This record gives sequence, structure tokens and C-alpha cells, in this order.
Amino acid sequence: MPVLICPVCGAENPISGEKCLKCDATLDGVTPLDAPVEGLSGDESLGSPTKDEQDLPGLLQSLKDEGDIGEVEESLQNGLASNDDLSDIFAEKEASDEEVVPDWLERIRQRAKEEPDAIGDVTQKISAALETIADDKDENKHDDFQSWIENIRKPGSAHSEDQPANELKKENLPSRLSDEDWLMRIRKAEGKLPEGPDPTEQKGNSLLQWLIALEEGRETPSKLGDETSAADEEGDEFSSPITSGDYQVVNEQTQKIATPFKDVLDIDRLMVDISDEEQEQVNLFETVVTQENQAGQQHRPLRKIKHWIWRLVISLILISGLTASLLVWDNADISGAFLSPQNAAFLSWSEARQPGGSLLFIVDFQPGYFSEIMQISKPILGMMLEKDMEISLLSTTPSGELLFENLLAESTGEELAFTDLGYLPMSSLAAYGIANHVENELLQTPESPIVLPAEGYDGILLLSDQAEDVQIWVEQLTALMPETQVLLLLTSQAGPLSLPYWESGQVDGMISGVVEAAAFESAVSGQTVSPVGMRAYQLGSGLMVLMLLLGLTLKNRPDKDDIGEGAQ
Amino acid sequence: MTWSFIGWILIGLSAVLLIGFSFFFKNRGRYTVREVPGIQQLLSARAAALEKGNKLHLGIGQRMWSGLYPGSGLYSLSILPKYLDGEIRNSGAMRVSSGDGVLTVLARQIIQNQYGDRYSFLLDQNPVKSDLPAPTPASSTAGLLNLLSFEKVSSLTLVGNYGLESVLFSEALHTNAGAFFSAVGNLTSQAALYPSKKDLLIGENIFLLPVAFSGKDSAQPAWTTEDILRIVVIFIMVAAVVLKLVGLL
Amino acid sequence: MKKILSAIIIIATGLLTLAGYLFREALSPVLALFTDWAILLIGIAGILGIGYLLRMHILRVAKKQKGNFYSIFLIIVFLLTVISGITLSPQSEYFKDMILNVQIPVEASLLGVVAITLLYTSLRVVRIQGWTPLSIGFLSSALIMLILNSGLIGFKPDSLAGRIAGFIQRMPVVGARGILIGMALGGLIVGLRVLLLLDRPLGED
Repeated sequence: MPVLICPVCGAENPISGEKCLKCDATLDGVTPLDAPVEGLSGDESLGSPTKDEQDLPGLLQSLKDEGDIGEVEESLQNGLASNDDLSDIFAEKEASDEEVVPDWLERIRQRAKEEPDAIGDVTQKISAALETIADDKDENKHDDFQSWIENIRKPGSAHSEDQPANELKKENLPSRLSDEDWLMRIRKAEGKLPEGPDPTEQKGNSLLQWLIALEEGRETPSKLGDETSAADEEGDEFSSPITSGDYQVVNEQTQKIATPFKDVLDIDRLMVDISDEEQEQVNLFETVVTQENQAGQQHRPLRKIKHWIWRLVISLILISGLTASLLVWDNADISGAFLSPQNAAFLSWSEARQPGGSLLFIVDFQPGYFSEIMQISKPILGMMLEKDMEISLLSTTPSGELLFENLLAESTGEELAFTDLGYLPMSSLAAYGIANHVENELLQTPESPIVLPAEGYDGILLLSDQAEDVQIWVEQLTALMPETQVLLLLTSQAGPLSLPYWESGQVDGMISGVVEAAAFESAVSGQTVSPVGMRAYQLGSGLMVLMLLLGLTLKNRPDKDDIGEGAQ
Repeated sequence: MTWSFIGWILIGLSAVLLIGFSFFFKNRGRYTVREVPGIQQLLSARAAALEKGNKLHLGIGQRMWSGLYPGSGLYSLSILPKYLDGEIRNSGAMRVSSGDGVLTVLARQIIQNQYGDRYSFLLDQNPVKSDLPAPTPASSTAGLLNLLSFEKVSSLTLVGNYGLESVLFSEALHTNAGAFFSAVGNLTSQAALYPSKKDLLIGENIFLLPVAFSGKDSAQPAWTTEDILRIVVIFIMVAAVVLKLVGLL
Repeated sequence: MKKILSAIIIIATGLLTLAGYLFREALSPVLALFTDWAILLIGIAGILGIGYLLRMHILRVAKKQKGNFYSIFLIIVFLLTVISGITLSPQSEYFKDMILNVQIPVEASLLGVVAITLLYTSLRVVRIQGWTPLSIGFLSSALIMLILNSGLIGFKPDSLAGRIAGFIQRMPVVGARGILIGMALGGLIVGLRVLLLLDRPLGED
């Protein structure tokens, strides 16, 4: 039976109505539609009957034999496969109830009253469905949903030949699918409508249409790994969910699929309550999948070659420059290097030493820094040995004793005797231990006990390449042996962070790096000394400055590899 | 009152706060975890490597003890059991290395305990290994570089004490298209890595790492205490400067 | 019982060491004993570590893993060093030369590789970190420190220029100190967590 669907509220109105019975909106220009049968539309509720259901019960069969029922039975047999047919039957049945009741029906009703189980399953369901229709008719609960189902069936429906509803053309679609669609307007008002083109205006882009097409075999699921569809790029919310090779896109669309159902289903009931930890795992998984896909798109070999070439060029420049500076220009002018206060204090301390005093040298540097340490310590060692000081050695590196022997030999040109207190594997405990042993004036070693100076050492000189080692020794020694003077001979990398110990008065002198060492040596000898490799050092510093400045000109856009995301 | 005495007060305060917050967080809500992008990066790289069956490597430091970075050796050892989740233990696709024999031995013990808590370490055919590539920092660097190359490690995490050499590890992973993550406490290492790596953990942020791995909140009292202590120290420093300026100190 | 015993030992040792700073005279002998034990244990652990090192390389050779040639080389050199150290003693000129003439150049070469790598990576500061306050601070302090420490420019320490240069040179140190204070607080908490048994690195949790 044709009805008019109100464009504002979606209520069904009689074909003759000019205004909506529910909201008084005008029905001018509204195309009549066949009234849908709610509750029977879905396959779940009253879909095509099964084989068992199609077998009429014995009672119905006997009634058929008696005649008059053939028409209805035929309708049931032929038409139950179509829900729309059923709706016609029910419509006719409704009408016939109000008019003349045939004899056969009267007999059925009579027998049903006497025997509750006399009617078959199908008839019971039909009755129940009719009751449901009657109850819900005025409430219009599923208007939107039903109309939506009708729209699904429109293109290429198997029943289009028989069903008026399926004959709907684009221009005959209910106004809900036009720009004036009441549902769309509500969505717009509530801000639920996505930006971009109207999805219903995009031919073939509807998710539901796509699903139908998929069901009918007109479209096949896209293989994962395809390029992102144009619809995705345009932000089409209703596009096919599996058209992109990017899992993240799939994920986004998976979330968006829920949108069309949002007004129909109670979405809150579908929400899953997850913990923070689970959310973190979800985020982690998402990141991993995204990165995995991104990683696959990178052109690693090319980048690898590019990096390799850069490294090669820089290495060649550095090596050739340093070699040339060592061989040709190694006569750096360091007359600009002045003796800093900590160097001057070291010098004063050295000059104040009395012959025959005792010194403890602590070797706490890696062999790789030997040449730098040698340049720094050479003038001091020379001065101390001239004063015939008694030298003891404690090392925290396995080859410390050998390194110190070499230092003495390089500084004085001859091998000198010293007391080796041994190798201690842990500098923090070494400092703690030596302080205690100095107090006890005895150090127990595997070979024989070593007697330590009764009045302590005149000074402890630390040779180190790391600021952290300096901290250990200085803090431990100044706490445990506050009377003992501590002096530092450090590489240039350890110097800056160790300077506060000089400024706080915890150390009595300090020399760090070859520049300070050259200034110190110049002060000791009274003439400007140019340390070996000074020009190479300056060249290296200059190159580093150049690279930093060159780096400023590069694009400010790191590759994935650059920021360590190329793990996968 | 001496500076040393103030130091003792801070230590006492830390202990009290730590115990107090431990009880507090045991019974009540959570302390908001700071989000650190680098940690998220590490976790995803680790997960991706495991998923693909690639090798992971955890460097726990060149040495156990350090004065300038106190507790960094202990800290790296405390990270290890949290890093060793069930998936890593079962796959055995990870190697732990250090440049210090002490760290290696302790790490080995931790790994065995982790297996021992669940099933026999001896029954496992391919357990997580703890190795000493070499006994000194420089030789250990060379040894670790070899390991990274031969085993095609795709995710390297450094914690604890490393120096300038960490930049070599970073570049090695870069060459292998692997993920490098550093939570090294050493300033030298942080400075060396800063030009080439984006998501480094710097300063006290490195102590956030254990929670990120374990997913538990056992370190939250520590974070809270640390945050409070930081404010106290800032206050003391500002107060000291003011007192110095007015001539009272 | 085992856990309780280890907890008692941990707490007692830690507290005694801390107390040693306050009551040094009274606790000095005990602390000396403790430190000697600790050094001994650490030495043994170091030897065990070397055992693991050897084991790893022997297994690598046995399983014919990639790079086993280097492992063979390492094992041979290791044995050669141990045997010559025992037979010749560390005081031997031959032994000394053998160690230092290999160790010093090799380690220096490694530092050279580090220098080249640092040069190369310094190109990428802005590319990686972008223009942020931290990257600008890093770049400017690196440039200033490199220039001032190169020895090309010198200032008399007591002159105005010298004072300004000294001030600028100290700025990165100030920043580093700030980071170190944070680190120290973190370290303090880690230590206390172990002492208070809130954290058990050896895996009882």
C-alpha cells in the first residue's frame, strides 16, 4: 500500500495526506512509496522460510484439501521467499479482516480457539508478526532503518521485477537521501557529519552499496597492499574499508564503519572497557604496524650508499688534513695560550715541593689517551723527578703499570723505580680503600705488605681521561684524606666538568688538555713550547666547527633512518 | 650546619618519602606517568624486532661503578629483568653484553633467575645470553661492534655507563637499518649521540625506563620522591644564592 | 629464609658503609675489611667475565658461526698473552712492548674512528633535532667551546675579555651540572630502593 514518508520526521502518512500526521510538515512533492513491513524486513526475524517451515502442518493441509485455502497456501509457498510479498499478503489480510471473512478462515479460527496447537509454526509467526506491526505502527521506531534497508536493495535487487519498492530510481528515492534529508540535517546540526562531499552523492562509494555489490559478486575484496584509494585521500568516510595497503588506513576506516549505524544502534553498548595498559598495547601495536609498512617503502640501499660516500669523503678530508698538519705545518703558535689560575696553582705547588717527598700517582686512563696524557704530564714528571721525589703508583686500568712505566721513560728518557701499589678494579672502592690503608700505613698485597708513608703523601696526582673518575677520586679523597693535596692531570674532554672542583677548593691544581699543558711547559721552561700535534688538534677543531656550520644549511627534515625508526 | 649535613638530611628525606609513597601507592591510585616519546619508540622497535624474529641486544654498560653517575650500574641491572619479558625469554632472541666482568656475571645471574622463576634454564635450548665482548671499554667496543654486525642485530638498547663509543654503536645500527635507543647516563655519551639521534633519554629521564618495560607501577614512588627532591634541591640552591648575595653565607 | 638473609646482608653492609662516613674512626677497620672483600669479589667476577668471553668465542668457533675467524684469532692472542704474562712477568720488556705497542695504537685508532663519526654526525644536528632551544643551545655551546679551546684565541685570565670568555666557557658546565644533579637524585633513589628492598635487581620480584 503506497504511503508518504514525511521528509522531516520520517513518519508514514496516508497517500491522501497533505501534511504529516505527526509533525505537521508539508508532504507536497513527496513521492509515494509502498509501506514497508517492519519486523519482517530482516532475514533474521522473518526471512525466507526454511524447508521445514514451508512444509505446512497437517491441519493446513487438511484445510487445503477442503478447498478455499489454496489461494493463501499458494501465496505462502511462492511468496514467503520475499518479505515484500509477505507485506502485501499481510496488507491484504488486514483489509480482508475488516471486510468479509471467508468460510475457511472462519473454520481455522474456530479450530484454533479450541486447539491452541492446531495452527502451524508459520501461521503462528505470521500472527505474531502482525501483532508486532500493529503495536509498532504508530511508534515509527524503525522508519529510518527500514528505509535504509530499502535503499540497500535498490540497485540490482533480485526481486526488482516484482517489487514496487525495488523499482525505485534515483529520482524516486525518498527525500531522506537528498540534501534535505532530515537525518543528515540532524547529523549536521550535531556535528556528526563528516566534512567533505556528501557520501550519498558519490556513486558507488557507499559502504552499504559496496557490501551489496560484494555479496552479488559485482565487486571483489581488494587485496591488502593495494595503494590507498582516491576516496581515502579525499577523506571519504564511507568508502570501502579494505582498499588500502596501509594498515593504519584500514584501522581508521574500521572505526568509521560504525558511523552509519550510530543512529540506529546504541553505540554505547558496543564500547569496550579497556585498561590503560591495554590501551598502551593497542597504541604500541598500531605504531609497530605503521612503522613496518613505512619501513618497507624506504629505499635503503641508496641511502646506505649515500651515507657511506659521506663518511668516506669526511674521513679522507680529516685523515689527509691531519697527516699534512703533522708532517708539514706542525709548528703551531700558542703564544696566545695563557697560564690559567688552576695551572698557575699547579706550578706553585710543584715549585714548593721539597726534595725527597712522596707522591702518589693514580693512573686512571685508557691506553688510547696515552699520547695526550704524556704531553700533559711530561713537564710535571720531569720536575718531580728532578727533585728526587719518591713515587708510588696505583692504577685502576689493567695496563696501568705498563703505561706509567712508559710515561716515565718518555718523560725522562730513562727507567725509574717506583712503588707499585697494584691494580684495583673499581675506582670508587679503590679511593675508599687507599684512604683507609693510608691511614693504617699498610697495604696488604699478595706478595708482601707495603708500608705506606707514615705522614701520608705530599700530594696525590690523578691522571684521568674521564670527568666521572675525577669526581670519584676527588670526592672520596677530600672526604677521607682532607689533609692531602689532590692535583689533576686530565685530558681535554675531562677538563670542563672537573673545573668546579678547582673552583670549590677541593683540588690544589689542575692541567687539562694539550693547550694548557703547553702553556704550563712554556712557563716552566721560560720559552714558548709548541706541543707535538698542536696544529693537528687545531685543524680537527676547525673541521668540527665547519661541519656544524655546514649542517645548518641542510634540510630540516630527518629520514626515518636518521631518527632511529628504521629498525624494522 | 654544613653542606654535608644538608646532604644527609636529603638522604633521610628521600628514604622517608620513598617508604611513605610506597605504602601510599600500594593502596591508592596512580601517579601520572610522564610520556617520553623515546620510550614508545623503543617499545615499538622491540616489538617489531621480536615479531620479525630479529635479534635484540641490550648493552648494560662499560662498567659497574661510576661516581659521576651514581647507581647507573645498579640501574642497568634493575632494568634487565623488566626487559626480559616472557616473549623474549621464550624466543631467546636477545643478547646482553657489558664491558665489565662484574656486570656480566650479575646479568647472567639475573637471567638465570628469570628463567628459574618459570622453568628450567637448562631445558631451554636457546636462552637469552649474557656476554662480555671484551674486558676493557675500548676492546669491548670493538667486540660489541663485531657482534652487532655478525648477528644482524636490529634493535640495540644501551643503558648504564657508556662513553663516546656509543656513537659508533648508533652508526652501526644506522647502517644495518636497525633501531638504536639510548638511556645512557653518561653525559659524554648523551652529547655524542645528540646530533644523530632524536629520542634520547637525557638526565634523570633515564630512570623512567624500568616502568616503561614492566608496565607496573612499582617505580612510581621513586618518581614522586625524585620530583619532590628536585624541587627541594632547587629551593636550596636558590636560597643559597640569595644568602650568598646578602652576605650571610 | 634465603631472601631474608640476603636482605639483612644488603641492609647491614649499606648502612655500615654510610655510617663509616660519620663514625670513621670507630668503623675504619670494618670498612677496610669490607672494601677489601668487595675488591676481591669484583676481581673474581672480572675473571669469571673473562671466562664467559672465552666461552662465547669458543662456542662461536665450534658452531662455525659467522665471524668465527676473528674468534680464532682472539683465542690465540689471548692464550699467547696469558702464557707470556705468566712466563715472562709484566716487568719484561718484551711483554710490555707486546701489550702497549698493540693496545695503544689500536685504542687510538678507535678514538680516531669516533672522531670521524662525530664529524659526520655533527652534520645532522639541525636535520635531526630541528630548530629547538635545546639544539640551538647545543650548537652554540659546541661552537664556542671548540673555538675557545683550540688555542687559537687567548685571553689573559684577569682581563675583561678573559673574564667574559671564562664565563662563556662555564655556561655548558652549568648546564651539565644541572643534568648531573638530576642524575645524582635518580642515583640516590636507585640506591635507596635497593637498600630498602623495594627493588631487587637480582630478580626475586
